[in-house]
Amino acid sequence: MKRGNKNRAAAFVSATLVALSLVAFIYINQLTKTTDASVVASMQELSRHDMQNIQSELESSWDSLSAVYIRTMASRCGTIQEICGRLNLEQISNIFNTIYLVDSNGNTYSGANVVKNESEKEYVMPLLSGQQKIVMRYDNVDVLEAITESLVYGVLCEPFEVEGIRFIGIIGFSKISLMAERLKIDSFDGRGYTGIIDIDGNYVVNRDRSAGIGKIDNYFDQLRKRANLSDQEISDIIDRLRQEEEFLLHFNYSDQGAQVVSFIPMPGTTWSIVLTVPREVFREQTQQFVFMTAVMLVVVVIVLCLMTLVIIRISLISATAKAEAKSRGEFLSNMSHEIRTPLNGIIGLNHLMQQNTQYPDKLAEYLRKSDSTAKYLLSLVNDILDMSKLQSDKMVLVPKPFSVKDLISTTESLIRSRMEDKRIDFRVETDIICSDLVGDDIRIEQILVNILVNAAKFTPDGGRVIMRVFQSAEDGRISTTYQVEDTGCGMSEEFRRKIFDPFSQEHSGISQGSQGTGLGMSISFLLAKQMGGTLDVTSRLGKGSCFTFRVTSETARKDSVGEVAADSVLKVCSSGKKLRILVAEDNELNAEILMEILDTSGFAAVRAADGGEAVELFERSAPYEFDIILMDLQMPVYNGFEATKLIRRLNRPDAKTVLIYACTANTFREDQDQAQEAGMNGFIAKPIDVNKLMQKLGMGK
Amino acid sequence: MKKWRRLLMGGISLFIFLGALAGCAPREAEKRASKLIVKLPPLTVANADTGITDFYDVLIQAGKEFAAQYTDNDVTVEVIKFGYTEEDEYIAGCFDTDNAVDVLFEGYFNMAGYIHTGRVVPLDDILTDEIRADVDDTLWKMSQVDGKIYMLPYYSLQNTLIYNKDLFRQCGLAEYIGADDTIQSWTPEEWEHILSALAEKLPEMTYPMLMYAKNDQGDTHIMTLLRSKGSAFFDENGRFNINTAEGIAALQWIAESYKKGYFPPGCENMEIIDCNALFANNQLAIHMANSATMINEDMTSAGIANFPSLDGKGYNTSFVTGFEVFDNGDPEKVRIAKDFLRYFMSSEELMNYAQIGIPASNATAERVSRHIFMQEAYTANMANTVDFTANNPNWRGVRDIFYIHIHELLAGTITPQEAAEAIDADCNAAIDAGWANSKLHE
Repeated sequence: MKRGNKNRAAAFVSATLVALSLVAFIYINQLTKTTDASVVASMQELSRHDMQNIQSELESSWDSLSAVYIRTMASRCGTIQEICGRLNLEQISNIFNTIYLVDSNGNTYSGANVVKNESEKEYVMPLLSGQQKIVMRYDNVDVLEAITESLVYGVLCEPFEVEGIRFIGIIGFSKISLMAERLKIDSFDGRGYTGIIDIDGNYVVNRDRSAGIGKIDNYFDQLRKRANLSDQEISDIIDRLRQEEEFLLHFNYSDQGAQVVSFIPMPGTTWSIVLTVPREVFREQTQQFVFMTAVMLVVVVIVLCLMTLVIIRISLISATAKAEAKSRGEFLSNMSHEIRTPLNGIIGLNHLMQQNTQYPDKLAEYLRKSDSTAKYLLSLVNDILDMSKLQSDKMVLVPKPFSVKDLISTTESLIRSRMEDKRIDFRVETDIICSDLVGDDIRIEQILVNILVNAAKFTPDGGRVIMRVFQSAEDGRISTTYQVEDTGCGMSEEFRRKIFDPFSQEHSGISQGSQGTGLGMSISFLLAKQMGGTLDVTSRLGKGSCFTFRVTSETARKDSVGEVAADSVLKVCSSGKKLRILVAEDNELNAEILMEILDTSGFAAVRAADGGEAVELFERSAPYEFDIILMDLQMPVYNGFEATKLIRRLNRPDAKTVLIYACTANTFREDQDQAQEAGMNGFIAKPIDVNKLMQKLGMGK
Repeated sequence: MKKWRRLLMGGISLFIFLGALAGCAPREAEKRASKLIVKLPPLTVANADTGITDFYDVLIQAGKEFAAQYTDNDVTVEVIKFGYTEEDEYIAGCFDTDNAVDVLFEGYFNMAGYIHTGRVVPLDDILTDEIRADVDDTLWKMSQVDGKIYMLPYYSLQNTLIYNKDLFRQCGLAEYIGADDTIQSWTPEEWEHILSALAEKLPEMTYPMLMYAKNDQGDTHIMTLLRSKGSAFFDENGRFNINTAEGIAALQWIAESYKKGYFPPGCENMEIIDCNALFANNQLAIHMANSATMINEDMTSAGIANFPSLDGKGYNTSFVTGFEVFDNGDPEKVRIAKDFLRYFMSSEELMNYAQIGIPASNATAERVSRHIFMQEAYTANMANTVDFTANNPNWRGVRDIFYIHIHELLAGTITPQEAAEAIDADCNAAIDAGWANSKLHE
């Protein structure tokens, strides 16, 4: 990557990260504010809820006390003892542990018969001074073992007299825990702490009982110690509470860290609800939101990515399928065209031959052309079959020892006549360091012939084609490079990129004007690939092309090349008599042609119309009567394989030795292997090349 | 670029080097933090040297001193004082929570039941021969179950009655007022005379004798009254045995005394603190007391007497107060709790607070004897001490139902016979349940 591109990429990534960080910062900031506001609202809501509960409790207690006073007054007690007795009974069914009546002198009269002057007590003085209702915390610590923590309620009531004593009000003592129960709200998973303090900071209700019974903690003292607040700051808080202001403060406790505290004064009392929540709770709430949001985003992104991938994959599969379908369609269309073209020629020539039977010269010309066209059609079919096998990975290479020199020689002899026809200067240059290699020489030859035929085809008259073959040793193996350079028309860059494409080759129109299947290069490319080699091309339009095929092979023992070659030659004993051939062929036309060819070539041929008849004819024949059996593979009764096996199993001296050649249109490697396994000696492909047939049979003479 | 790389590599090397140095540096082993929770009800103590009277403050001081010198753990001792009526909430209600009690300081009669929950650990391993020899065997026996010591006695208090000398004099009962620092014992006849005189002569809204039945607080004093007609109270198996002629006679005496005006009107709905208030306000002539509750009493106007008995010698009850250690599933905390007790026992100053009663430690008693209130009289009166728990395993269960029957008796809803039957049935059922559910610490 160039330096400029690198810098731009780095800048882009950096800018993206900065932008993402900024967005995340703003988001978390806003989220924090929102959650903080939510927690604060929740705190205030809880405090107000507590306040309503407490106020309800206070009103209920005052009402209850007033009712006791009214009932006592209405009971028209005649003595103080009766008053006390009345209160004693009231205490049974009341929330108050102790109930006092208060007279105008500040004397109190209890349900326990205790009568004493308490005009100096803080819960009596307000009533004596005319205050209608009072509530306060009062801890009786006079006797340690009898210590009590109480809430004292007082109500100034309508006066009444008994024995000259003027009662003016009532006082009730209830357990402080009753009020604490009202505050037991599970706020913030129990981490919120609610208490009630009076205007001096003394706890009225303190759910933290660690101080123990009879020990009244002071909230403001705690703030001084734990939050390091100054007296002025405490004074400010008191002023705000006096003004019945609701407010929120942040403290940093030395032992418990940052705290958020909500103050809500209770109307009509000097009390305030104080709810303390650790700042950590706020942070956790925000973190929870951030975490949930992040998880949600990750899930959404993953789902989107997966969906995108699925869509892309489906699109790709669909596009590939469409392209393949289109290519196959085009291929089939082209093949149809290519097959129909020679078929049209053959049919047309046959027609012309029928009309010109009386003109031998024309007939001969038509026959020559028909033969040429039929051979082209055969090569086309072979190419299609090769292509099909290569594409379906069914092409089986047959590596065996071969001679590179022999291969070059054979190839040169095959192609030289074409070159000479066009007066092309065809040269072969070799630099062979090891001729004996292991490989599928047939397929290598096929590749070379394809390239050379193309070179001959596209090189103008008088041009030049050079085939270079050179080798190099690599780790004990030999890399052989076959290079074919021509001075032909060359090809465009666009076409060069497609030349090995099997489905678009015809589409390129390269074959137009030049006879050929157009599959040769594709087949060659795929064969080279299957061999583990490469086939590539360089070309300049109008200047020529250069195809290079490289393949690496193991070296072969020198003598093994000869052995393999010897094995490939069929040995047939010669008897000097006219060879008798049993033709097993169910197709009447093919049988007729073959019988005629054999007959005209001097063989004695007998036909069997199916596999069963072939076995039967051979079985009935005298030993060594038949020298060769040409066995079709697909026949009624017994197919060629079955018939061969039955013949080989016959108990007669020639059963094992009679030559049986498969004569079939099934030309795949597996068919040949199966024929060999069944006991056949050779393979003759249909359509039958008469020269090759004669060569095969000639060997039998 | 190369310079930048060199800097980076140098920085990494320095970091690794410093990290290695830090890793190799000797580091002071961090002590594990532990919190010991000590709980107690309000209890008065005394120490002539310090003037501290609330044992809560003593335990706070002891906790700080213990933590300061303790090397095994970073200990915090939290002391929690609970009201007598809140005991269930603070002790049993906190089992298996973070606030579970590790060390409890309380009267044996309440504390003994916890031994049978299987949560209280034996203390034998911290009791040296010296400590064992320093405490009377009677106290060790009270602290034992199945031969193991579960409670560590600190002091004992003798509960007797206290009377208002001025009110006695007002009612012409001066002859029954004993000398200072003596404990009176009146015959049944004398009792009847005193109470009838008080009822007759006390001013309005002033009452002869304590009585209450609103809750279980102070119920042991009422139980002691049930022996007044010769009842042994418990049978040979430690079960309640009130439903006898003597027991029923005592209940009959209570019921009739109420009718005769010996007790405050409405006493069935009163509790001990109400009688405290009456006595403190000179509205009650005879109440109960011990050396702890008398600490603020003006003894020139108050005398001490035993509970009534048939033989005229009178009865008193002895309340031992001490420590228990609870196992809350953390062996380390149990170890620390025992170390705390070991530390407490080793401190003379802390042990001296037992002078509020008779110190369990003889050495302490000897050391502070001159500060012990009426030590001689109380010691002499030990002959009249009666056992009011019989070491049963569910005294709290007994207390939960006993006062209800006294309340019903005073309210007149049941007869003395019915009360006796109900007391025996319900209290013995509670005791049986206690034994059935008894599980000692393994």
